[in-house]
Amino acid sequence: MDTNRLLEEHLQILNELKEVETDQFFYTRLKTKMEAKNVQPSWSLPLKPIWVLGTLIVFVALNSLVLTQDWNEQRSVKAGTIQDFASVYGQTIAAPY
Amino acid sequence: MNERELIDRLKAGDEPAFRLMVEKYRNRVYYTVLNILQDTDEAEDAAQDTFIQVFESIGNFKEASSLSTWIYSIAVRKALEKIRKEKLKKRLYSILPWWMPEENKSNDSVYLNPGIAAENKERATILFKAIESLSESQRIAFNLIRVQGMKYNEVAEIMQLSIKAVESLVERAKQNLKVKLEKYYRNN
Repeated sequence: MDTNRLLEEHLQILNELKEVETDQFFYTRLKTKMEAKNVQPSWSLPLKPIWVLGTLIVFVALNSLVLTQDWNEQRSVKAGTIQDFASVYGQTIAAPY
Repeated sequence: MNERELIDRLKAGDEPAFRLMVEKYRNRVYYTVLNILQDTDEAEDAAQDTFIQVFESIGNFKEASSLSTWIYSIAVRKALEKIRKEKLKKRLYSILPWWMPEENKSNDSVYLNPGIAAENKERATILFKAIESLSESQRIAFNLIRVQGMKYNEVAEIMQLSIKAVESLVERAKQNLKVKLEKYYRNN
């Protein structure tokens, strides 16, 4: 088998190839894709550093506020609970002196 | 409009200039990626991505090569990105088939260049199957030189290789094709 001739016979096909073309609406499809790429989906998160930092500050502030309030409430509830307990049993809380 | 003016207008973000550039290069870009990807849908996608990349990076174009060479090099990169993504997808599919159930592309399907004359279809099928089995760099160099009819210096710029390296890739591709064709005809 003459491999050189075999290869040349096959490669000849490439010389006879007709260039394949896109259709006339290629630009329209391209523009649509470009526009779709530029449009941010409505649910996307704002990931700019300023937004991330702002959100973090608000988060920390809210947490501090809630924790402080909770701590104050717990103190008043504790005192209230002892008073209630004493009054139910007709006791008074004597000062430890 | 000459190339200098076209580049300047593209850099200024002029839309009619962008449209003109797309119209001028769309067929060549499409044909380049089609020959590498051997899939019309993927080729359309890669051609579109090429022009989007051109639009986004024209400001960085240093004009070390011609505009057309720069555009074709982006097109080849986009086609290679697609091939790599496809390979990764196939690898993932082999590991996690339940995770990617939509994968149903047959590996046995042979691409046939739509520009092939009817009387050459049988031989073309054998040839393109052999081309597909070449290594990535050999396939690209061979495609750009023999199928696209580009010049060695253009391909060297596109592939960022020396002219000698491209010559060597094409020569090795031809040797490999010879072996593959011989093997095919011996077995059939």
